[in-house]
Order: sequence, then C-alpha cells, then structure tokens
Amino acid sequence: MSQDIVISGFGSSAVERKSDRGIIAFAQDAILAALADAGLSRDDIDGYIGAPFATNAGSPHAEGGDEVSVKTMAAAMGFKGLRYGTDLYRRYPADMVASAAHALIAGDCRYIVGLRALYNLQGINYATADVPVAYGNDQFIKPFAYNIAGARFAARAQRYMAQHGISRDDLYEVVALARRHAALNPDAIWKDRTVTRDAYLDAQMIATPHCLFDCDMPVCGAAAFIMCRAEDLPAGATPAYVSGWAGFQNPKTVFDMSGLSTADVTQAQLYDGFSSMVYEWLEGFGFCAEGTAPAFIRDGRANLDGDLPLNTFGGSLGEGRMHGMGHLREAYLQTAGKAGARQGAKSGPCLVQIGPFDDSAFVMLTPEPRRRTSPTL
Amino acid sequence: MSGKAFLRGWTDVHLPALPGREGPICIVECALAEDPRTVIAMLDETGSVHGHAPDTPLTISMRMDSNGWGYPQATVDTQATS
Repeated sequence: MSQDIVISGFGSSAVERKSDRGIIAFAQDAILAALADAGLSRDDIDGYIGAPFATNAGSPHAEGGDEVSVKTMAAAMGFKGLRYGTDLYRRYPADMVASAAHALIAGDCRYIVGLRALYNLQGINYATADVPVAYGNDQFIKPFAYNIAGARFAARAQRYMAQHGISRDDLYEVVALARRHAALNPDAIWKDRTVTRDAYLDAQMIATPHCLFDCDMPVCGAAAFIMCRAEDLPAGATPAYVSGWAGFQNPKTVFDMSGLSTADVTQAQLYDGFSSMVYEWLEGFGFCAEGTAPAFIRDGRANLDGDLPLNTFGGSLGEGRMHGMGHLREAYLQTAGKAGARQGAKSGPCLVQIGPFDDSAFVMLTPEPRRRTSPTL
Repeated sequence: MSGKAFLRGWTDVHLPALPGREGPICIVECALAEDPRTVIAMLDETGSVHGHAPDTPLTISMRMDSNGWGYPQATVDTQATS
C-alpha cells in the first residue's frame, strides 16, 4: 500500500458577510464542490474529518448555528458508509490534513472529506463576549477586554514595531498586498475593494496598532477537501502531495518530514487573521531576518511575481475569515496548477502555516511525491 | 512579590468592552520581575500606547475604579527609569 497521500480535490461555498442561509447549507455547498472537483460521489466517501469550533469571542457554540459536527454533516450529506469520522477540537486545517493522513495511512478509509465552516450569526457581536461571566483563562483576560479582537496580537505587534522602528504605514503594505491578491480571487469578500493608504490610516482603530482593515472580516462560508492515497487518485483529479506536516508549534518537523528547506519553498500561505501576524512566521521560518519582514513586503518580494509569493488568494485579510481553509485551498490550487489567473510562475513546494505565534500547525504540499521521513522512526 | 515588572506588550483597545468605560483603554502585558509569568493589567488612567518602549520598568498595584471594581493597574516606574 502506497504511503503517498494526496489532496485530490477542494471546494468552497460562496463567502458572504452575513447570510439568511444556515451554516449547514454552506457546508453542503463546499463538500459538493469538493466532490465534483475530485470526481467522486458522496457514496465514495468513507472518512470525515471536521473542525467545528468557532473561535470568535462572541460565539454561542451552537451546533447547526455557528458550528457543525460530523454527526450533522453525515446526516445532511447522506454519508452512509463512514468508517472513520471525527471532529478536532483544535481547529486548524493543517491538523485536519495530518489527521486525515494518519487515517489513510492506517487504512481506516479510502476517501476522506475534510470540512471547516465559519458563520457570522445575525444578532451576535462577533468579536466580543457579552455575557458578564468568565471561566478558565478568560477570568484573567476578559476583565481587561483582552480576549477580544486580537488584543493580544496587537500588544505583541506594538512591541515588535517599537523594537524595529515599524509604523502603521508598514502594516498598510500587508493589507494592500492582501487586497491586490484578493482582486484575483472571485471568492474573496474584498475582491472589488482596494484600500488607499489614507483610508487605511483614517480607519476605525480596533486594538492599536490594528485598525479595522488589519482584522480579517467575519464571514459565512465553508471549504472542504478530499484526501486519499495516491494510488486511489480518481480519474481526472489533480493531486497535491502531502509531503509533510507538523502539529503544535514545531515547524522544524514539517521540513524534516518533507526533506525540504525554506530555500526550496516556492510559495507560502501564512495565517493572517491580523496583519501583523505575517511578520511572525516570515521571520520565524527564516525567510527573512528578524525585523525585516515589513521591508520584505514593502519591496514587493511577497507579490505574486516576487521571490516568495505570499497569500496569493488574498489571505484571510482579503478573502474573509475562513480560518485557514483559504490558505490550505490556495496551497492545493497552486500546487496542482489550478489557481487560474493567480497561478504563480514557479511550481514547487508550498508551505502552509495556520494559527497564531504561540499555537500554529503546518503542512507542506508538493506537486510531486516525496519520501516522507518520520520524525521518530 | 514587589509588584515590579517590565513592559512586554501593550495596546489600546478601542471597542467598548468594560462596564463603565468608554475606552480606549490601554492594556499592558507585564513580565514580572520575580516570576517567569506575565500578567495583564491596565495602564494607569491616563495611559496610552504612545511613547512606550519595550521593557520599560513598571509597578503593578490594585486600584479601585469609579465603579468600585478592583483591577491590577500598571504605572511606569519613573524612579527605575530615571
């Protein structure tokens, strides 16, 4: 049995700011699109991996409201032959890929669908928790409003900016890059909207140094992927090989497993829930030296035609808050050569990082199979 | 512990988030001088993100606000910085 694992299809729903359609409808759209992309029917699916958790502070965590589980989706999709099905509490698509790969390598299933759906509920303040109680970690941060709107990332950004002489003009360059790339993405919530420097600098502040445009837009949307062993690739489907993955905070593993280095990476899809986040991993991976990520972006090196095209679909800042599924989908499309107008000139390994500075997961996709190296064997 | 700490990170939160406070409020991450942990505090009432530098010495103390609620507040330790 081959150990080569591929993503064989990807699908997305529409991305909307608010919607009268429910989360299940978005999830169904995404799964049906992924099945069509992979050339499969729902009866072929015997595995499911989901990540239902809504990460926004205002979430009521309502099944079928702003979260959707394997139980609901199996019924909604009519998946009758699931031999493997689970939901991750940790909600990063990179972890979904790793878990799906484990199931495929173990022979638990043949075709596994991965789903993550996001929903911006009507009548709910998305980014703030209105209830006057706090539990667990929130007891120590909620009294200061430190659990809302990325305040902890803003505080970290403020320190970085002071240390390296960075200004909000530099953060604007991150947002402008996202909008340029989003213009090539028909699914992006900001596809038709550029933002001028003046408009950015005059925008409503959220948590200094972040203004409204530094925060990804809450949306309703879903994305789904299909994974299988390479030998089971459906006829007509285009694969992207899953050549490495790494879980909690261990980026070295994704390079060790794939046998690749940063010099081999041709594109990066780095999580950008807030604009300053992209600095963290551009420097954290070593694509540029500490304190130089803003110049890297300002000088055009992250553009689609730059040294290291970054978030070529517009990122979460341009597409909307799909919480990493957009990053993974773009890596698949670019690696499989299916990115259309935004296809990068260079074909090669695409690195995906999803999550904040202290809680990230990683995937490496490649256009050709690579012999993965186990970190422990 | 003495309440001595150093400025690790800081932000002004502009969204209304605390009862009785319109904002913006300056929230600081404080690295404790005598403990490896960090704590979150509000900068004193007149504080804002402007003009601060990483690792500025701070003093943390409990203060009562006008609502009668107690919060840890941080003040810049001018004696230590001078």
